[in-house]
Amino acid sequence: MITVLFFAQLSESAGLREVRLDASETQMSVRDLADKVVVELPKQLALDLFDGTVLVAVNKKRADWDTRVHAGDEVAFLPPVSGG
Amino acid sequence: MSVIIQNQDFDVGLEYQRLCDANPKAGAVVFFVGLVRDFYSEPEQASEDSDSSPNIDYLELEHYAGMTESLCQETITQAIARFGVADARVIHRVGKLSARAQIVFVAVAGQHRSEAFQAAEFIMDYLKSTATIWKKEVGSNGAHWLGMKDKDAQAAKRWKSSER
Repeated sequence: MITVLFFAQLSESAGLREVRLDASETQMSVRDLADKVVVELPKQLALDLFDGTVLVAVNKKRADWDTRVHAGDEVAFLPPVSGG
Repeated sequence: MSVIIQNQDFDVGLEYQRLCDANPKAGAVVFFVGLVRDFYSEPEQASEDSDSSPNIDYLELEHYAGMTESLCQETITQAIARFGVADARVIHRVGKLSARAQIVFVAVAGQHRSEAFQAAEFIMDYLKSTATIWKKEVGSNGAHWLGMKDKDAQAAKRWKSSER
């Protein structure tokens, strides 16, 4: 399984913060994972997730949309930050 | 060197004392405290409906536990190496915060003030542009998430061009 996390605006669009996905496919990128995950979730999520501003992290480290993901990974989608 | 992400408030005096105690040789201590502004609304929203002042009741902050801490730790490590300061710490609050609440604390101890000021500013700029923390304004007109402001992205970028 792969754990997918949504933060801030994305968690509201998705209606949830966390979802687990079967990771039986090999050779899956973060982008492939995102394509899979939006299918079952509200349409607004796809609009927000692919708007070009979202960064990704794999296992709590910055990654990119082409990074390969594997079973046991934690993949997070990060909208533009606003701390400080 | 420490990074703390917490909901509870912090005591600047106490943190100052801790930093001094941990760095008996430091000749300069610089700290910055960020406060929740009275209102935060984005300019374009304010002008759309000019006769209603933004009604922000509170901010709600969330973060990516684990990643925020390691990003802040990385930033502190870079600041110490780059500016040659002795110690730095960050406290960032999350959860529900009302106007005028303390939100972030950055403190740097070093030999001299110039490096300490620069290191503190570097840490704040990087924290604002990279730390996985998000603010939501909540008010009587609804709620919305704030995104990174251009000026914050620019502020972080300038450290890339000015090599020391």
